[in-house]
Amino acid sequence: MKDLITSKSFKKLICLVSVLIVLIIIGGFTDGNVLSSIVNGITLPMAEVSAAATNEVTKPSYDELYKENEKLKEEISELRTQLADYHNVKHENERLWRYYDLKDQNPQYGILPATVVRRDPNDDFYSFTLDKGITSDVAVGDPVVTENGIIGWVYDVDFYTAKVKTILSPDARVGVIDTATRDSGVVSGNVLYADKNLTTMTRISALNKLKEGDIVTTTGISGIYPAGLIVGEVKEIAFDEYDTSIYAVISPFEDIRTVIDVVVITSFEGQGEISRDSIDDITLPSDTVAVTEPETQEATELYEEGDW
Amino acid sequence: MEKRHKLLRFIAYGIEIAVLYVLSGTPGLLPEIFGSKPSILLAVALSIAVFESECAAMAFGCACGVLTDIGFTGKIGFYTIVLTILCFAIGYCARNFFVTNLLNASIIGIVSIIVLTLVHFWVNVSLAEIDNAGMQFVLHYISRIIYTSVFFIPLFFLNKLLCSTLKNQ
Repeated sequence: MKDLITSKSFKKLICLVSVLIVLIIIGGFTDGNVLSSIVNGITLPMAEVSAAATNEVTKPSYDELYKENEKLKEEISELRTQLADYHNVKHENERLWRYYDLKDQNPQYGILPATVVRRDPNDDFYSFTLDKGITSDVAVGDPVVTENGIIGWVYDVDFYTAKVKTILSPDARVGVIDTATRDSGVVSGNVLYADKNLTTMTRISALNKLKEGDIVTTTGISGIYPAGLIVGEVKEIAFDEYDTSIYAVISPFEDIRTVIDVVVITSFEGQGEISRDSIDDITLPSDTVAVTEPETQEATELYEEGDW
Repeated sequence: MEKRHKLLRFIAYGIEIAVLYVLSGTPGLLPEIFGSKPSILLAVALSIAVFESECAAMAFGCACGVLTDIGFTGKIGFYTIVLTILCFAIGYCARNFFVTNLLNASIIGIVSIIVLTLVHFWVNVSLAEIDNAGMQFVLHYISRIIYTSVFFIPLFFLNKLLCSTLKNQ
């Protein structure tokens, strides 16, 4: 032991560890990720090639696509038959489609397409790295979405890459509102559901009217996410077995665990501004559907039968 | 000549680390088992450490730690310090106290992986007071320990091959 302590190599270890501790302390006080930028700058081309190669290999074959296409056609046919008698539902369906066209409906959004180049094996909540960084105007806090809804937010950025935490993470705090019932809550991940691509809506009122199938969207109150971004649909209402609080299990429309192509919203109206409106005063964007009571006699009957 | 072989060996280790860093983070390449993926860089650092002197082991442990931390949080931290010290200790023990064979290396490697993963869990989950920490350990960390340990064995043989080839030439 004495030999070890007095050896040259032990002194080298002490020196290296001291330098590392100093670097960690400096890194904690500064925003610049020089080391991260250097490493990611060097490995990004390799990561892009590797990700592209994997993407090519994992693409479905022609037969698989053909079968899937046939299956989808059948499903569409069934859905059309079901929808044929329900004009109001059909109309609502058309309006729901407008959710997917974020850019057209929200020209004020600064939108930057990006690709997932790395998924960290040490993270249990599917955080990932994008191929865009400070040089592409990506900043910490920028929302990350797809045409199917919100995915997460940028929590760390260097010159060439950005790290994204997903709404499956317990660190997520997204203010949301049920478009049908106006119940509000906070979306936050839960280890029990993350594996199944589900997240939870907590802090909801005991008198809530949430029901399965309701669509929840962002409120935009905090200024971190724009209002009206789709988060997902309510899958079930559950009770926390420890504190008996109510929470809703939310199923995002996108499979966050495997998503490859995403969009970073680099700017939007009200970014960084905390809204002073109450939940009831929130005006959702024109593409957001808030279910209202039916106006026609035929629709009223459907509403009473629960088919509205 | 010996120095040249040493340099070649270190370059080979460097390439191995860089390639495995990229592959470990490639989306969709490594299948998930019970929601977790292996920490390949951990296994690489430990498998190099059993063949090298303490200083070289420390340097490669530090490199793997930096890459692991950058991949995880974007800044150097926990893994950099812990892998640097751990690889130094393994390198020292490997040179002075035991013969490097599969059994000894596997015992040291797997015990180190278990200890590192438990400390990682304690620092990142328990201290952070994340809900359902126990469930997270059962669902993800046990499978990660096993998955990473499985990767240790082929990496041991790969590094043994590199070491023996570039030492005996």
